[in-house]
Amino acid sequence: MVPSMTSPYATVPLVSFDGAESIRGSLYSPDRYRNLESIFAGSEGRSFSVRGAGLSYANLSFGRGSSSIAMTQFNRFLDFDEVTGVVEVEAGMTLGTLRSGQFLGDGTLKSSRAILQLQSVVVWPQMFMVKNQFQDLNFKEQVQFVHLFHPVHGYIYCDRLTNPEVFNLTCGGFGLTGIVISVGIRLGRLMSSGVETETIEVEDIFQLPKMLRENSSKFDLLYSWHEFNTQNNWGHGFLKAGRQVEMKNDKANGDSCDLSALAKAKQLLSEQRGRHLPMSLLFSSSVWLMNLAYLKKELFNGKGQIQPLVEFLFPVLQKTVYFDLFGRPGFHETQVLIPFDKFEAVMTELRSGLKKFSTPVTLASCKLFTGRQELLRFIGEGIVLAMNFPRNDTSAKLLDWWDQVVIEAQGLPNLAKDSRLSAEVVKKCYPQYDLFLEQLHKWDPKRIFQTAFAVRLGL
Amino acid sequence: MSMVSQESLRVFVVGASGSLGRCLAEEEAARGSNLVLVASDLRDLLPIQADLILKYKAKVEIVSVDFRESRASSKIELNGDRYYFPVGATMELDLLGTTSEKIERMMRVNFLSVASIIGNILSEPRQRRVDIIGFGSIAETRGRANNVYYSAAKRALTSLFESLRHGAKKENLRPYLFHVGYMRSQLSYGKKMLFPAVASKDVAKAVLHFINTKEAGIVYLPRYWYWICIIVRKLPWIIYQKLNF
Repeated sequence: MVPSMTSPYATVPLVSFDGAESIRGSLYSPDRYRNLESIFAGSEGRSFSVRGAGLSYANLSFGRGSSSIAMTQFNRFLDFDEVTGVVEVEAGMTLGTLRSGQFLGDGTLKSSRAILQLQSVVVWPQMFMVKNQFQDLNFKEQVQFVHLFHPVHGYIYCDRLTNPEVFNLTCGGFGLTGIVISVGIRLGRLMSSGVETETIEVEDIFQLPKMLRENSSKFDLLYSWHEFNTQNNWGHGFLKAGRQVEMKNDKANGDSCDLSALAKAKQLLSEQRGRHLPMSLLFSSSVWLMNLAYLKKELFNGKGQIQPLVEFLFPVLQKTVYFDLFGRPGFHETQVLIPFDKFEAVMTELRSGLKKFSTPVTLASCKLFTGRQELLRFIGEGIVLAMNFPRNDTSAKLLDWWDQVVIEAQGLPNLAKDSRLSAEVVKKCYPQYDLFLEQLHKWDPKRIFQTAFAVRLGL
Repeated sequence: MSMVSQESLRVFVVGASGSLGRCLAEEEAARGSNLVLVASDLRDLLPIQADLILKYKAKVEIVSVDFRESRASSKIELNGDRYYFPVGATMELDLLGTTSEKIERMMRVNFLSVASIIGNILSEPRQRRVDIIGFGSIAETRGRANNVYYSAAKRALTSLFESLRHGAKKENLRPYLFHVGYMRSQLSYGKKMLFPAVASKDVAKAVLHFINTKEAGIVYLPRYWYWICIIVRKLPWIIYQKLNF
């Protein structure tokens, strides 16, 4: 039952999570070190990409002419230091499995989702600032060290003191520096896997910055949701706040929560989506009705609801049908960081833009953000706004217009969420784009790790 | 004949770094067995050992042996109650015209390694009964022009386990041979298959269930492969020789 001497590969459809790009590509899934290394034997001139859970929005794990390597089978616990709370795990481990490690006691990851692999989390930490970034910052802050493999450099250990430039480039390096073999992660304490939630109505979107700031110190987790499809009371919505609570006989506690999340994650894969639905069912009227019902339900729930942490961190997990409704064309996601002082002006612009382009906003959500921006990391001070639209020509034009609004507001688009961003837009928004490019080419002059994302952004 | 409790079983997994070997080790660790994991690459064994110790507080020893080398089996101290042999290898072009070096390697890894360890176990005096669990393949059902030497090695393994079964009572052992059908592993990865491939975790669970509830035997997993193999075996030669698979 041991594999042959060369690593086998499958030719499979690879689709970005938003459905924007689809190719048939080579996918390796090594289970041993020699299988991993054999992929690169005689690979002069070939390029590779690294795949985590296969849920990246923006073509981060595949590309034309690039062989993808799934690290799923490198998924073992390697070490746990009870004193420092640092656990070392292989990068193919899912966060759900990590959370289920009984020996960890009540330690758990800060900034964690339950379904994604650490391979993705480390190299795309900007995707993992979930619902409490204002307290725990991006996932990079929890990463203590990384073991990296690169066919030219071999196996490299890096942390903030040893090979700090490689560490800095890898965390948030979009998988372009090599293959993360294992990572050391600092765990935080978790009282339970349940969250007591509170829903606070947001009647006026322009009051949102004040409301987010006021509530950020009162709760552990906080985000907002808004309805952008009506002109009356535009932006009406709610704050969803969560507080970890100590509970006995917590029905939300335990592994079942994680297993459920994993099962749902399989349904989330964009390769499976749209097979039976060639077109989107999300029109202006259906979206308006859906959002109205959701808003009423959430406001009715009020406060005191107990919800599993996983569900709170990733609400769509229990509603994967949401992605199915976009059908085969998929959807657009844009996520931008707006400076506090520009929020009001940007919202005014957005309202007029949405009216002009007349496209339904299926989801709009905000959260508070903090931290110092560097390289291509999605971090800074302000409010993050995420929006989804059905993928069509009108929404594409709206987003081209939106790029200009963001540039003028000195905002920051999340590169890992938007598969349509151009190199020109990114250069204007990220002051250290050239520095990232320079450091990446210095580390890997042959640019062995290439993805559709990297090609599009000129990396 | 003295019985030992599951908790105190000393279990060897020879070929522990493959998908089935890993799953068997995990199932045994979860049941409280003390493990000796054998594989060729220490870099693969160390993470498996660490994982099982952290998750199950299991006692896990590791031995690095390359079965492509002759006399590799003599490097293992054999003092177990149960031995799993999910060890083996295929090669890309396993055709009739293969070099002797490659044939030897195939035979060593797929058959000679298992046979010599079993020989060493049975040549030493023992107080307790041992379980010997081998893993054959549906490829051994009938020879064909592909997968030639892998199939031959697995056919030899079947013969060995028939002999073990014949002498089981005298030798105080329980031999099991599982012919595993399509299973998700590096062996089958990327290949088009006529029937669905099962997860190695499910195979490991089925194996443990079988040996904990049934006496020795030769078993097909999943069970429907028994009937498929019967049909393949009974096909008239005039039809079989025209099949291209």
